[in-house]
Parts: sequence; structure tokens; C-alpha cells
Amino acid sequence: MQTRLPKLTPSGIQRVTFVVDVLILVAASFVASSGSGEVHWKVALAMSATAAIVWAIASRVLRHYDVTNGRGFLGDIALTLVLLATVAIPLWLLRPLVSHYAMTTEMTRFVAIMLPGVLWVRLRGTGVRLWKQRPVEQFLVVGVGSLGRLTHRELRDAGKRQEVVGHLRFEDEQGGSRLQAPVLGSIKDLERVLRERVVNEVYFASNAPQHRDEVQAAIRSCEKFGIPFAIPACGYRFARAKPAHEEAIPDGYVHYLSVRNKPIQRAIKRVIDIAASFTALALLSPLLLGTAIAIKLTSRGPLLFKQVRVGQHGRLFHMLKFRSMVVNAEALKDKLLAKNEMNGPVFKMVKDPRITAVGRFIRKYSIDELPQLVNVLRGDMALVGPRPPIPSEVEKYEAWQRRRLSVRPGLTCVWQVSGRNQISFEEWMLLDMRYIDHWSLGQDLELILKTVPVVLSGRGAS
Amino acid sequence: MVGVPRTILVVEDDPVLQRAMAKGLEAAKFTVRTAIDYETAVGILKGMRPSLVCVDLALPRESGYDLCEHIRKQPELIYVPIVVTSDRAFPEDMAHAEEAGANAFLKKPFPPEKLIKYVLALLDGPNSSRPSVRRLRLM
Repeated sequence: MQTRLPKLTPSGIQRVTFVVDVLILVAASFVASSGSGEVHWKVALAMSATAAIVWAIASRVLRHYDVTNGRGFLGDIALTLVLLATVAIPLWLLRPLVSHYAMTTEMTRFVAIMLPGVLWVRLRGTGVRLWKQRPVEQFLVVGVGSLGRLTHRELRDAGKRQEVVGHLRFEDEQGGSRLQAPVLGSIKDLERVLRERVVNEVYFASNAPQHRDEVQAAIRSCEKFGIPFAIPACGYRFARAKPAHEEAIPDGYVHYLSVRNKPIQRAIKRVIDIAASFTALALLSPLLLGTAIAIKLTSRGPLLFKQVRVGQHGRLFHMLKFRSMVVNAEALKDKLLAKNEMNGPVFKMVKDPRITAVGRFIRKYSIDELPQLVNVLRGDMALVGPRPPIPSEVEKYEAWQRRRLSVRPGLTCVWQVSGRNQISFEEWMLLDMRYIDHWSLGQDLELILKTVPVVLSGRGAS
Repeated sequence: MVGVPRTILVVEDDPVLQRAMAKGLEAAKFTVRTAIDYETAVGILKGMRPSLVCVDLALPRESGYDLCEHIRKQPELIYVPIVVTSDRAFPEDMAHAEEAGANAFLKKPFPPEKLIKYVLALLDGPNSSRPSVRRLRLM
């Protein structure tokens, strides 16, 4: 697991991208508010100020310029569109207040300039550099011999977004001094390393017969953890022969996945997640605002409760909730551990004395979970997926339970609609695992539909 | 060796490529001997010790791997640098080449300048005086 949370302070290229985006918004405002040869200064200033402020806040909340987020390329573009909508909608709503001009033409012109402008910056301009800065793919190479070293170099040279976190040595291997990544232990330490670090794929850099049993055991670990792995494609010396289907092994390795691979469905899921969360946030904004005011008025302390949770492949992130407990709740938890009503590493109890009055209400109707729609937009979470565990739970996971981390965590999953707290930890894990192994878009939609009545009735929620 | 032209043995069965490699190396003041297969190369190596051998992995009969291993088995040739050329360049191929004794791996097609660069680095580079038969130093 990653030991620290991603830094939020923007680096140079992030700042540049932000400034360019804001300049485009300002330019779009000025162009939009100039008609028949003259600029309507009041309109231009009001538009550009609103746009810039909304953009600054929304992009910060949604981690738009954060390079270490959990978004893919598609998610990034979708988020850009969400941000543009976030800017355009208030401008459009505020138009009677801002001016007596018919703002429709201005708005059309504004969108017509800012949309392609900002997208261009993201797709072709500085955003590309931002994208390239991400250390998205992290690999572990098993083997410190020739193949291990050469595989490492191949991965490093193949792209900036690839990084080898380290090597593991086979039991009979010595050396490793010439390697450019640290040797993290022997192949027997694979499970420990997979627990401690974010690994996107494990490369087995040996086909030697004497390593067969070790590789076989390690493959079992990868499958248990749900981590993709790659095996050398040939193992023999070929001077001339080439694979008949070269596209099947572009880098000389055969790649395997331990979770269901449905890339198109996954992409559709991501798009639905983003569109639905944005719509939900927009529609529920009065409720969110009301809740925020209620929390602030009735109890001292921050509005949101940011908890460190474990995301996909063990990446840590801040999960957002409306604060429903007193400020020093985590400290009080240790005193209450004896009264835990769940077996296993999770803490739950029905009459938790730390919950505030407003907290009890928003928990009953799961309103406290709504800020996680922002986590969905950020790319940390999905609407449907296993609930993200806290790091201390993950430390206590058995190996097979780690596979929960192979998918993006979600707001709701099988357990949440099944009757909630009344099942054991073991059963809960099994349900989540079954969800991951038999994932489909249809099942996700079904779970969302089933979640709605559970939430509205406030049944068994805690 | 200063002043004396150094000899490079080029083992390559493609006549066009062989000529291009020889021409490039001669322009860089090397003496070039050529062979089209394993047997010819072994014959040449019986009579001389080149400064460097350049081996194509895909030879008509015995493979380039066999030639590398043959060279590494000759006590007087054990420290002669070997540049392997091949149009297969997966990490596995490079690892096999390294294990067979190659010092550098050139993926085909390559411009003659790249070959010269590799040859010069192996012969005159910072690590050239330290004989290494176990590791690919260049790619």
C-alpha cells in the first residue's frame, strides 16, 4: 500500500495548465460579451469573474490538475466536460441578475469558444504534459538475471507512464547490483510486497525449468490478489522464427488478468458514473446545502469528514462524508472496540454514542454518503463497487480478500442492498468477491435500482 | 593499437546489409572481414583474432547464438566484444543473446552510424578496458 497520500500542491505544469484554462475562460467571456464592434465591459467582467471563480473552486474540489488521481484518459476528458458544465450552468442561471442584455447569444458564443479551447489545452496542449507526468503503471519484476534487467529497461523505455517499483529474486539467484530498481526480497515475499505497494502488473522474468514451482506458487498469489501478471512468451532461443500473430505478444510477454476484462463495458460504466454523479449533485444541491447548514449550526467542527480509504490497487484517497459524529470520534473508537457488533476487522455498532443528532438523521437516509459523488467524479470511486476499506482493515485482510482492491470501490454494492449489517464479515467479503468475479453492467444497474428503496426507507442503515 | 587499423568480423547473410555494414565500418577506419555463415566465420576466426565480431542471429545453417557460444569457448577470443543483430528484439531475445555471450544487441533495421557508435563504445568507451562477457553493455 502507498505509505502517503498524493500531494495536492500543484507542480509547475499543473499551474500552467490551470492559468491557461482560466485565460481561455476570460477570453471567451470577453469575446462573448462584445457585439457590434464594442465590448460590454460590465458583462465581460461579471462573466469572466464568475467563470474563473467557479472554475478555480470546482477544479480544486474535483482534483482536475492532480496528476496522481485514479482517472483514466476517458475519465479525464469527461471530468473536463463536467467542469465546463459546472461553469456554464451558473452563468446561464445568473444571466438575468448580471445584465439586461439578452444573454443567450453571449452564452452560446462563450460555450463555443471555451469548450474547444479548454478541451484543446487538455488534449493537445499542456494537459498532455500533465498526463505524461503521471506514474500510472507500476510494475514489479520477478527475477534479477539478464531477463529481469532487460525487461526492466524495456518497460522503462516504453513510456514515461511506466515505472518499475522493484525486483524480487528467485531463490537460486544472486546479485542484482546492476539493477536500477531495488530488490525487494525473494519471490517468497511476493504477497508481502503486493500488500505493501501499489503494483499494476507482475512480470515473471524467467521461464527456466528450475523456477517452475516458484512461478506457479507466485501465479497463484497474483490470482488470489487479483493482480495482472505477464509470463515470457517463448522461453526458447529463436534466431529467426517470429510469432504468427505478433500483435498477441507485442512485448514478448503473454499478459494475464485475474479480473473480468470487459474494457468497453468498463468505459461505459465510467461514463455513466460521471454523468450520473454530476446530475445527482446538481439535482440534490438544495439537499446538500441544507444538510451543510444543519451540520454547521448544530455542532462544532468541520462540515466534511475526510477519511483515508484504500482505493483501486491499494491507492489511498480521502473519502468524503458529511460529518455525523463528534469531532474526536476516531479517538473514542478505541474505547468502544469491546462493543463491536461485527466480527472481523470492521467496526460497527447500532447505538454508537459518538453520533450527533443531525448525524443520526443523515445516516438513516444515507445523506452523509452523498459527498462521495465528488469522489466518483474525482476518479477515486464508482457508483457501484465494493465499499472502500480503511487501511487498518486492509492490513488484516487475508490474501484472497485483497482481490477486493482490484476494482474501483463504490458507493453501493451487493452487501449494502442485502440487508446491511446483519451478515458476517466473511460473508460480506464473499459477496464482494462474487460481485467482482461476475461483474457486468446490467448487474450494476440492478444494484443501483435496489439501493434506492433501501436508502429511501432508511432500512437497517448505520 | 594506435595507428594500426582494427579488424571487425561481420557475419551477415544478407549481401545488401553486409555491404552496407562493411562500407560504414571501413569509412570509420576499420578493416572489415566478412562471413556469410557460422562455418565461414569459424574458419576465419581460426586464423585471426578480430577486435570485434558483429553477428546476425539468423544465419543460414547454425545460428548466431551458436557462433557467440563458440567464440566464448575459445580462450583467445573470450574477451572479444560481440555485437548481435536481429530483427527479433524482445527482452527474452536480448537475455538469450546476453547468456550466449553478446555484449550489445542491435535491432534491425539500423542505420550504419548506429553500428559504428556501438562498435566505438565497445572498443574505446569508458568500460572497454574492463572485459565483460556476461552482460550486454549496450543496446
